[in-house]
Amino acid sequence: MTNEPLDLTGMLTCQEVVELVTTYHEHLLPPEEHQRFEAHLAICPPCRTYVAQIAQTVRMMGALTAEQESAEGTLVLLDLFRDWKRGRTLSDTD
Amino acid sequence: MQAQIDDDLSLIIALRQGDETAYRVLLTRYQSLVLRLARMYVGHEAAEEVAQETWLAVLHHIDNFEPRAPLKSWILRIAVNKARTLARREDRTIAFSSLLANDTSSESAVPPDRFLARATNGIPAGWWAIPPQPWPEMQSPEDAVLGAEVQTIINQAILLLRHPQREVIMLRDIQGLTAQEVCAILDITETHQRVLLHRARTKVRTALDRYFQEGQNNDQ
Repeated sequence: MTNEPLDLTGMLTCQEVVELVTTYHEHLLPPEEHQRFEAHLAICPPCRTYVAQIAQTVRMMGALTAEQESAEGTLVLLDLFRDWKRGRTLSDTD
Repeated sequence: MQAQIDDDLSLIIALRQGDETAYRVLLTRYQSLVLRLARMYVGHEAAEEVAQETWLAVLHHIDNFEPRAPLKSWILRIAVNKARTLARREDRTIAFSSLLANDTSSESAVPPDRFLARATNGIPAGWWAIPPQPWPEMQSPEDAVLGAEVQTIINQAILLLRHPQREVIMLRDIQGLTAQEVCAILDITETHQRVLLHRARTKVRTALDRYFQEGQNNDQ
């Protein structure tokens, strides 16, 4: 087995991969660029780490616990509806 | 998509007839989103005010609403506009448009000195000089509630973002809206949305990375 160094010229650079990662995750890279992106990942463990970390960041943000809403706020909104409806019914009968 | 339109239509028709159930359905679906959206611009109490103004506007304009746009985007767009107006009135934030202008400046996602400035040992320029280090193994965030510390790191990182970036990342990654919905709500192009999302995600990742690397160093 020969241990020839890979020819990296013409490949995407790591810096380019980092800039394209969101477009990649959004599946918006043109087919050829998508292929070049994955060809880079195939030979570059640090970029695989980076791309995975971005994906993990997104998953973590999706898992943030939401604050609870106050029941009081909902009551106000229902009153608001009932007032609106009353005003509407009144103007209908005018 | 068609199912969504049909569903929207029946809600709109019911609401126009004064059906409280339809209104409650909308509240259940969107009220918490409206509130969280409002809190991106104003404080907690003012957010309640924004929510009330939003629903009032929805009711008052439901007769004129043309269901070309999804109901959800329409409601959230009203909420964003109400929140921005209130924020401006309270002078809490700078107008969105002026920030937008600043934000188109070039801004690299990761510090350029993390990459080789020139070819070194057969590795071309632009490849990692200081590669990212793996994060510690964690339980999948889907199975477990995120640790309080990690939540704080993420929240702080998001708070430090400039306004348009913060809006986009909150809507996309925290509220889980689609790119299309975010573009409709914020009235921005798909490309601009993606640029803002990219910068925002990169910064949040960097904050998490700093936290995890420090944690590992402390363990040693």
